[in-house]
Amino acid sequence: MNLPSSVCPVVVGPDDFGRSLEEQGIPTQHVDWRPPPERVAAAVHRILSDAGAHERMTAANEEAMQRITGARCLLADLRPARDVVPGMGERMLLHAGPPIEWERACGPMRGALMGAVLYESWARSLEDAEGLLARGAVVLAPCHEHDAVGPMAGVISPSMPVFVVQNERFGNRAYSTLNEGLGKVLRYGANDTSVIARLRWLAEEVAPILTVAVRRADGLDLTSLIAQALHMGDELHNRNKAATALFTRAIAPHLVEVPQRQGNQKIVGDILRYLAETDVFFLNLSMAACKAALDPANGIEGSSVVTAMSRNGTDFGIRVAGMKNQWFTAAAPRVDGLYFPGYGPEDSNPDLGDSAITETAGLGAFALAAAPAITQFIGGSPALTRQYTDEMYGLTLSEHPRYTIPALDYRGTPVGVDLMRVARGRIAPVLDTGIAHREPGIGQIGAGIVRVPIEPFDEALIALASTVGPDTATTSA
Amino acid sequence: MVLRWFVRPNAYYDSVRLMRVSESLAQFPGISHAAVVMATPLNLDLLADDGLLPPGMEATPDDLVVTVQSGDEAAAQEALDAVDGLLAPRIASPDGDAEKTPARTLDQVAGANLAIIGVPGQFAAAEAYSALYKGMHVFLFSDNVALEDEVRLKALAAERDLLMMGPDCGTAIIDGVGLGFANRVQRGPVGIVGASGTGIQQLCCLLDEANIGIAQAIGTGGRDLWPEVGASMTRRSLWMLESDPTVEIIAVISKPADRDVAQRLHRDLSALHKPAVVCLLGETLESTGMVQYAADLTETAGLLAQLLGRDLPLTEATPASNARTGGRVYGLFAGGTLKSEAARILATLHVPHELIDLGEDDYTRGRAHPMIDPRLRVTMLEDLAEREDVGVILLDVILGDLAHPDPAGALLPAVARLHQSRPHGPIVASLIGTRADPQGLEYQREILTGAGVQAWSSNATSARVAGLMVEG
Repeated sequence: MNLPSSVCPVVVGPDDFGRSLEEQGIPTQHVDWRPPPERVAAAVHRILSDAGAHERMTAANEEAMQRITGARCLLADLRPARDVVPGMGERMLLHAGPPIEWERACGPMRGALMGAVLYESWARSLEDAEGLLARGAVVLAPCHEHDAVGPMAGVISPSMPVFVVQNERFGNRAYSTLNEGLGKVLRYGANDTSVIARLRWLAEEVAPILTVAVRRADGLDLTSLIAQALHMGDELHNRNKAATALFTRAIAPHLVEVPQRQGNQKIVGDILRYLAETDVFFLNLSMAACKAALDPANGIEGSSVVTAMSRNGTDFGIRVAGMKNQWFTAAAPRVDGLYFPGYGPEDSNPDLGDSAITETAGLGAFALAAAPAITQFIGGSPALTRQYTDEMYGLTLSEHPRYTIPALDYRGTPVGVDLMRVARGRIAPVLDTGIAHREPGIGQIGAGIVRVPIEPFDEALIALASTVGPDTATTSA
Repeated sequence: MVLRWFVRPNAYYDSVRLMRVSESLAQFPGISHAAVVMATPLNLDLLADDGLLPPGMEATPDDLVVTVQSGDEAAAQEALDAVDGLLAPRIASPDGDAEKTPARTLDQVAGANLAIIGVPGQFAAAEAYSALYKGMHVFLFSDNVALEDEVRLKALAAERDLLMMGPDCGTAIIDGVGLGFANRVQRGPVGIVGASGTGIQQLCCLLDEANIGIAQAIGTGGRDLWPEVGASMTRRSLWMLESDPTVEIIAVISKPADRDVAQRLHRDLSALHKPAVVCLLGETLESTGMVQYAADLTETAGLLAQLLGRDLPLTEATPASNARTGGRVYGLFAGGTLKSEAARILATLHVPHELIDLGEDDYTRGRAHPMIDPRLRVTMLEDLAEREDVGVILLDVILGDLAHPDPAGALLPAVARLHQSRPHGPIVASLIGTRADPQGLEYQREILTGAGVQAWSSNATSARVAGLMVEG
């Protein structure tokens, strides 16, 4: 063993150690350490005190990050959910977030589920729809458990057309609906006749033609499109303006080349108008691409990488690579954001939607530094966007090799939330988010940034630690 | 007088920062007393002693307690309102790197090769493992770390060829850089391995006084010579010093060691090509070949000086007066090894004594080490004014980096009070420091002697002097 030839110290603990080194003229780094709760500290200790367990976790996480950042996601098709979504039953509705039963569902979620029942013609009135759902005659399941994701309420019913996104690297697929646009929409719990009519228009008029165009485009590269949009000021969660424009530019030639049948021409015009008016259109594709990128990491034994963060308006939940198919949940957080005129925090529903899959994959709030203009929508300043991104580097394992941020000298976005880093740094991830009114049907009343609760990350780490090896003491007398 | 207070549940701040906030708060206009502490039993007792414990207050050791005493309600409130500002971490200027968030885990740190860890003991091992995995040497200041962790950490460090100094490592000087409590010493031919922080400091300072410099001083933590640990770090350090060309002679210091471990260590030492002086604080083995044993730290410094053909400017243990006080030697120490050394010497002299090491776990839970935060010792010192059986009071005053900026000055109010209540009761102190230390050795000596405290650079000498004063 050799002594260090020049001492480059880092201090974990009181500042004074660093101060006395600085006084000796030695530049010193500092870790702003915070104590974790006792059970979390024990879990951290259990993993770190076992060199074998630590090595296995490190290797598992490397594998997870290679899979996640190595993804190449293409838009393969647009099909009715019943034809492609695995396990989609005939009387089944998928929803955002961790599992939820009707009794505990929030207002917007209930409104969206009722609307979907009407859309599928399983009931004739909202009362009948509510009765059906309340007595459990419709199976409810999280989108995430069916390779799908949905924004806000995220409801997917069997007849809805869904994008099929294929991860070329691993052959897995992910699914998401067509975005309905803004205003009165199902995803915010609206369910009147205009909402149902819009959904039918999307399925019956838009989808058949858009499907042909999507197939003619022959595997539009979403990963590459996202990388470009990041350079154009999107973070691909709350801001999809550039990505939607890029998508429209790519799909337009194929749309107009769809073989002419009667009435087609008017519909192509309508579709182009719909794309032009719907800045948020690409969100659903961004989400499906993120889902398709993250899913191959599920089931890597011992990995502490988070593969999904999601909320259903009642609960916030996460899933972890090393504990396939388990959810760890806490109450969904309230959003601190900018409200539209006439609304305030008292009107808001707790946070909602699968869209946090974007942050999980290194986009959204994690890539805020790429989207300074977003502050007009969510509040704050461009400096704040850099601060959030900078903070997220502290709880992630990698920097994304494809998704880069020009303002940070093309540094890759922070990706791969690590339970250990969250537990030790005591920092929970932040999300960009829209704010839904707590009553169904009113829709979006604001937008902002929300910090998710840290407890599910803590509980997941405790569960993961119990699988790595024998417990050891942390203190002595 | 009004007492205003609040409790903040589950609010962690390191004890050094809290000490500074307490001190700042006490300077507020109209404030007579202020305390900002974690609500540990010891701290609550101290609050009660100072009349600062709010009646009916409920708090757990994880909670922060803020109490202020003032003649003026508004002043008290103003002080309470200022606490959050004082506790807030220093924030970079808005035009600078304001958006840079500080690293929250070692995982975020790049370019460091040594981690200095001082978090509370139950969290410290995890940080040390993490540093070793990252390929960093570790200086683990924290105590209250499980012995099992110490064994594992040292094994892991051995596999990875890294230094694992500690847990409970107070002092090291690596490549001329003082870590933890360290004195500013000259570079020179002596390589030290020490399972004792204040032991290393005493030895360094005595050698410095003789113009003998230090090549390296490697701390191992106080339990390294326990049978479970088997001198793992001490033995590896010896080989390191053996191969370091700047090291001519080697010193090994530990509190009393396990006998088997000491013998194994002796075999290692005998195999070295450099002469060594070993101080196991009393437990001497027989000196053989180039391995000599010394009974105390001062003798160790003397033997090292001799090996280099130099003299240690040692003073005879001569009490200032011939009067005998009777009673007991009552000692309040910041340095654990200095306390043990004094206790052995007083026991040998058959002098009744009661010595307390304020660096022990019981006294440091929820507060900073007594070398940083002198308040507990000051309180206990003042309490001695009430005790009848006190003959001589024995102290250590330790200078150097990380230590209190004015340790002698901090003792003055208590010393004045003691002199008032017992005008002829002598106070004897060892003053451990070098001329280059930030506190100023001569300045500290003047403060002590000016206040009527006899100061010696050798702890062994000051213990002997105290003993002679009691019983002659």
